[in-house]
Amino acid sequence: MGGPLMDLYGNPLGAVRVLFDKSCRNAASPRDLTRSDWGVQELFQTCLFRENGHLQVPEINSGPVDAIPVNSLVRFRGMVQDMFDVEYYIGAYKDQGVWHTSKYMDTADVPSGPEAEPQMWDRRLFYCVPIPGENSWVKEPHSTRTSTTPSTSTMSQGEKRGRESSNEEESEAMEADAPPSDDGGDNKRLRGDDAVSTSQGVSSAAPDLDLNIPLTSSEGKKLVPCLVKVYDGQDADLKLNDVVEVFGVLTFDPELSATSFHQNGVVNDDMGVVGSAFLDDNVSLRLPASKVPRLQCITLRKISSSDFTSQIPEVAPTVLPLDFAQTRQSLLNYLTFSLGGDALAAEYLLLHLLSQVHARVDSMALGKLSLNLTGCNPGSEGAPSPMAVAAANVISKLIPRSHLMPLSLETLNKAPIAPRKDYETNRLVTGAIQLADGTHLTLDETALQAGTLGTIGVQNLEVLKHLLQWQKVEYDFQYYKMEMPADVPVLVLSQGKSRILPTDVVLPLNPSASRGPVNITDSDLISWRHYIVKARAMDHSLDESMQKTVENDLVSARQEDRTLGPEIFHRWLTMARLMAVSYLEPTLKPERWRMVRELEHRCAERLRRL
Amino acid sequence: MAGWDEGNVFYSDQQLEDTDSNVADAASRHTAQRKFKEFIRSFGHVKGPFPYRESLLQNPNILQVALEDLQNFDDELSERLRTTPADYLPLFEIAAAEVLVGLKSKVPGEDGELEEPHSGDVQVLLTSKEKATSIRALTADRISRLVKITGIIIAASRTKAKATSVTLICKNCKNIKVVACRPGLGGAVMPRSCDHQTQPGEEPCPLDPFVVVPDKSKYVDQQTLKLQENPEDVPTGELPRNLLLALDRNMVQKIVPGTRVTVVGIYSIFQAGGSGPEQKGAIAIRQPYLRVVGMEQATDAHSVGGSAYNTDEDVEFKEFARRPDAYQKVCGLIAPSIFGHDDVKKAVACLLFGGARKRLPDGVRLRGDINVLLLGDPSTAKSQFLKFVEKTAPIAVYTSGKGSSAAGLTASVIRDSSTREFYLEGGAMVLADGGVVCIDEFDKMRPEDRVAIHEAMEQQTISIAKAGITTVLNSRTSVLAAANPPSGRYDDLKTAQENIDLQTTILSRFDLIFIVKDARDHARDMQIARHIVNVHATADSIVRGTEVQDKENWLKRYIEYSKSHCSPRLSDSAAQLLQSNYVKIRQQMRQQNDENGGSPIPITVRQLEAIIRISESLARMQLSSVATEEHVNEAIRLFHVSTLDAARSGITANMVVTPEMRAEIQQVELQVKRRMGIGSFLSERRLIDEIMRTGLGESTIRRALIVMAQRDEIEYRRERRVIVRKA
Repeated sequence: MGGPLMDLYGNPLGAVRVLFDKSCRNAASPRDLTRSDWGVQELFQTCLFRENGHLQVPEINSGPVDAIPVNSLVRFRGMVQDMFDVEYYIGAYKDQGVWHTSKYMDTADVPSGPEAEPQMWDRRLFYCVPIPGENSWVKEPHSTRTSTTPSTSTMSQGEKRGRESSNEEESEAMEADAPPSDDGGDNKRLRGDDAVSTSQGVSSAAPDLDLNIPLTSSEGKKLVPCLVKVYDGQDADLKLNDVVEVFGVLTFDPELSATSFHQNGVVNDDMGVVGSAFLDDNVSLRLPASKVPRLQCITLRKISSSDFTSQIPEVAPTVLPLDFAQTRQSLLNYLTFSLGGDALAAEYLLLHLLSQVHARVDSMALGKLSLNLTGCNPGSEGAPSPMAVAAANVISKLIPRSHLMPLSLETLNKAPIAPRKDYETNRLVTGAIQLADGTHLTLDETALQAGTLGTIGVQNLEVLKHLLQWQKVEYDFQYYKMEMPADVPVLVLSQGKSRILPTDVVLPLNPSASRGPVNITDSDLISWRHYIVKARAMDHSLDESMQKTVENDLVSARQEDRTLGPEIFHRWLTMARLMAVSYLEPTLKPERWRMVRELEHRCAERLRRL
Repeated sequence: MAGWDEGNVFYSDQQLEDTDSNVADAASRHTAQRKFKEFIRSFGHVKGPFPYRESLLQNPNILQVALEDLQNFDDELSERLRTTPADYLPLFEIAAAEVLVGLKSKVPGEDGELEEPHSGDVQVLLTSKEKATSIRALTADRISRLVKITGIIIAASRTKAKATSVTLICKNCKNIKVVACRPGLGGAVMPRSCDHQTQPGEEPCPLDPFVVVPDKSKYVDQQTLKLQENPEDVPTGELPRNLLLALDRNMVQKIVPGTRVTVVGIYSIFQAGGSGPEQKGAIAIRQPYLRVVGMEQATDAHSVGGSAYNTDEDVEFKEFARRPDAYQKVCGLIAPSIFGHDDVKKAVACLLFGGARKRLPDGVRLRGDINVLLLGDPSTAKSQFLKFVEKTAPIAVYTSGKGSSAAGLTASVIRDSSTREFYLEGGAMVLADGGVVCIDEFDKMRPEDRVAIHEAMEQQTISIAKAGITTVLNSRTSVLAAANPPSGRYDDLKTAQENIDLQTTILSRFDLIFIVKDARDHARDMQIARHIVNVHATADSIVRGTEVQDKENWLKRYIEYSKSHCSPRLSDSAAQLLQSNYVKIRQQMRQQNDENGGSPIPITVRQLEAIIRISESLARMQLSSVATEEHVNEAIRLFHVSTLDAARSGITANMVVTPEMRAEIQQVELQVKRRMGIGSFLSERRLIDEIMRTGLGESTIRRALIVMAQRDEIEYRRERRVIVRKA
């Protein structure tokens, strides 16, 4: 396998060329080549996905891009941030009687004259950004993998870089694992922790406008977006905000990026040539290739938020036979401890972390369970609430993608958080909540002070409200709005009950004396992560008899308390589902239902006591 | 296919394969041109003998041709025009110009001299009734074909002059050459060498000897527009796509951004960006654009979104309408996830289909749109109804009373900060012209804003008289509003007036008013519980998801179809039935008023019209052109269970107003008027406290205040804390 594989890595275009020539000989006419990929995908897929061959391919964001040789095979993990229009290119042409292809290339020396018989083919352009909110422990396995690959000498720089960063992250992880205490001095350290992608003021409220990266992470590392060119209808089921792993040819043409800048005026010299009326619209030409590498996609696959497990093969076998009830309990203990000893809040937080939109019926999003923890103290002098930081820190260790957003007047008024279309540049300007499915969002409402919300601020709150209620984000297209379905679990931390943001559950925090430090090891974290992934992936069903039980219980509850409406029933059923999957049970059992009712009872009691 | 990277004049060939066969084609081109001429001259139509000849005479600049006509005339010719429009359209235009000359020369000047007929340039515009192609379906193999697409214009460039032919002069030998430019965004091919035969002793012409003589070239107007896919055509989770349009001559400057259009054009490509001579590695990238050869604005809101129905759909809809349970079936498709509320669902169905719009002989327009108000307890799925309608109605705007001002709903005059010019900006009611406006939290709207939509709801227009602009905008919309009772919950112990608390002027504009109560009823609770459990238990089956989607789309199509194909009227017997019923209702209400004091919802001619509209919409659901007695009966039943019930509700036995109470209420009114001058403010609490000191009970005072508010004598402000006296 070694021989051809090495070839594919270093010179993928050579392999393409071989396949093209082969099918050229078989094809009667060049037109027959249009709708087939000459077995390119098949060849690469078999090599890449067999025996983890894909991990041998260097990943773009694991080191400096310049270290990767041009025209070699690279890997890129990113979120589809914008979808550009179709691009037409000369796919095949004849040069001195021989057919050539410029597929998977940016440029081609097409000879002039009719004898070239240029063939027009099309490809789709996608603008992919580094996965917003991705936590460092997810990136880790990727970068270490790459760095251990003994490939070309040009990789040495990237290799070094990769090692360094993995070391850094390890030490960070160690540091964060030390039990944080409640006093203020500790908070500062927590805040400095890179693992939590906090959006302090500038960093997330003003996303990088040129590159449209939704949450510019606070990490100093420069992650680059990519312009991915997709061929042969592989984009068919690709949607906005999907997370993809792209394997493709890294192309870079300095001339291309150089000429692209002074194209605006050049054309207008004489007549007969078109003026600049949207004609310079080709966005790809406007993105400097030095900042946005071009990726000619050979094959791609969508990855869900749980896919990180497949990247840690060495841990997987030890995790499988684990006692999940025990894992659940230890995770619960950890959450309890993190929430200042509030066991009830920990139960809710666990269910909340497992929640995801599993179905949409009409406009309702089933399965979401947004949580509002009240009674959180604001941080001193504009710092985020200590509880918010602690919660976000815990979540960032458990969930692959998460983000903490302080809801201060400043951040709200600053920039729209919902993406909007800019017709001038013909691009989708990103916002802080353009997030891939499964990204966890913590909103720190304690950062809010009394003051005036501007138009943008009001709109931002509406957007958040809409997200909480329907799990949908309205993208602004100027002439109309378009709803994009989202799946972003939201945790709101506030002093009093949040009147601005309607959550499914409101629970006053009741911290008790700390139960003493909990020892957290790396293997704990890993088993919890696996547990969460496994629980989230569980199927769930309600059998007939259980349906009957639940129905009767709901009716009697309603007979007792008329304030219980359909909304609360929906919540109970969602919680029942989550409770069952948290025990990794495929069906709802009566005791789980009773546990949910008990939780709700205690929650209602707390609310009444206020 | 020359000129990818030479010089700076480029074109993209429309017909890649035909380059060699040009000569052989000449003959067939000639025949085609002859046929085009024949078509224009002699095509006969059911509507008139020679429509194209006539139109050419009346408007010599443009000739609008329906592709269907051409197809009827000569199938092969129209097929050629479709597949190779770039070749055949110019022939068509030449043919049109020649026909025009021919038509004109028939009438020689009366002074005896034969005037040389002016051979103008005729622009042939094509229209087609075929279904529009999605921008997504345009792939490389559609290049240079004729396509029809719909979308919204999002930007328009300034008009520019575009050369149709350039005159070139050789720098060396002064040889003049005229080169035709490709239409659309294409340029001309600049010959690289002069074909001048070099005489002995003469210096041979160098490579690239030509320069352009701008004064001697010919130009036309050209404008580029950007078209974006209609939002409803975009698959979920994807972004709308754009397409560049190039239009010329008579089509320029006709469209402003924001307009929905349907265009017929030639799908073409051009090379983006000029490749200057410094660019060596030619970018093998082309940009697509559409050379527009026919454009229609979607002015009538109903025609948006492809009004064409194929025969399959036609048959399917008609078959469905014939089913006896069509009405039940349609109602079953309304918000299936909401349990119960069958009558509300029926009302929503009526609202979606709508009655027939009428124009009386004296020019007065009667609306056909049905307005529905849902009033009731929180969490009774009112918002879900609104959301459903927003999704299902072909055109719908959703807004919340809390956040929207009158201007946001109707229209506002805005002064542009840079140009200082005034312009109009339509609000939700104008934007939803021809559709539905869903207003949530209707009660939270400020009263003056509610008044602003009075006109829109009844007259279906919005008048603007502001900043020197007086104009009337259409707002032919149905209104679906949801409101909570003032106390938050519907209180059976209170009167209807206390519970509804909206001005009668606005209430009477709703055709159907539902009080959605959360009834204490074991069986209902059971059903709700079962429904919710069922939703959760079955939500995961994917089949359901797509099925629901299909059903919704089907319903949407069916509504559009019925609206465009059916405009029902009352039958005579139905009208008779309605008359007698109306008299009966009026009598009942009068009787009731005598007993219990005023009803919050007066029953007037408006309500009679409402019943007619509802009957018509019921008939429309079955695609029937007459509203029968059956429809009227159902309409009256719906009216009974909604508006009449609302009018009567709350007036239970224990709430009979005794003469003493009435006297007390009048006393309170007197006290209020004494304490407050017209236009003065007072907090409600203080007013009540003060009057209570005179010995009157608080509940009586409150009731009196509500009565006064109903009569518009006082008004609540600032979340009902402050009272203003108005009259």
